[in-house]
Amino acid sequence: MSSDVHEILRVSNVTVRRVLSRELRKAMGLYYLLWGTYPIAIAALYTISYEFSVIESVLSLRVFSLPMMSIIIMMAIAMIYAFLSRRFFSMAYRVSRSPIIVNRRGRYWLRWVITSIIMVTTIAVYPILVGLGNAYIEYIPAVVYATLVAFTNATFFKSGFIRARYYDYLANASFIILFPLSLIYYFGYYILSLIWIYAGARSLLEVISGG
Amino acid sequence: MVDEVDELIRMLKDEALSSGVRLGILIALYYIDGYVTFADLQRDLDIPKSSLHQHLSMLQENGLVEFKRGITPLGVRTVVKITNKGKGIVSRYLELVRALR
Repeated sequence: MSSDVHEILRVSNVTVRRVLSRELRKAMGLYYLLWGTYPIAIAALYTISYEFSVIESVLSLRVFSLPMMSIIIMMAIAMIYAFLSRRFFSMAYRVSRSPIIVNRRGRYWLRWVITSIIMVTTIAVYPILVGLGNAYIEYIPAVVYATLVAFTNATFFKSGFIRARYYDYLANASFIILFPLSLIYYFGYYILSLIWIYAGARSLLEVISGG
Repeated sequence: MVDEVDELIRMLKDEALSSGVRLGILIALYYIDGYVTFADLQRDLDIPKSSLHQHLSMLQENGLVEFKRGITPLGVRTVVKITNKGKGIVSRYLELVRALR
């Protein structure tokens, strides 16, 4: 190939890396910020439901128990959040499969399929286990789920387009530790929320400052 | 192998893709698969507005991208998006790169 073609390919690779590293970091910041508001959204919905007697009305129908209703509400909001964050995941997935990445390691599609199956199974089994009323049975899938979320987030950095910063480690480590613990100590959700909002803000500041 | 190299060279001799910056912008837009503001692109690439405008105009004239004024969280901004024709070209380009690796 001529030197002109080599130069075009070299400049295009630099350009792609510059644009995608910022856009991926921005998407990641928005993802942190979005999920950082999740406990607040749940709390707000509960407060509204309580103050307007929605919970009492639904319980009087004797179709759902209070714990089951809580799980349904949490999952319904989680699905909305997952829908809103789909762009981040789809972009990161496409980039991770790109032939323009030279430092790819491992089979990403296999990792994605296995992770997705385990996560969906964990989420599907969770309401059944909660129905049994055993705190430890709730705790185990929560640990598995939290680990898988952190594991999935970590794979996005392997494309090499964005570097993992201390706030990424903080967000993911806190999720593994605090998410399962929050089943016992509810304030853990709010600490988690603050950490994720902080990680989101730092990510967006990184984009703005060009770091 | 030779066919792929020939096709890649032919593709890169096209006026719209004969610049590494334009090719890079097009590939990045393909992966983003949504609207990106002109201001974000300019900040990402750190090139003068006029240069970026020239590159995007060239891509638009060839039907590879579209740009328009759109509402964003920061107000009304010029936003850029890859077209289906542009996606087809990048998709073929990536196939060729994959085959050559």
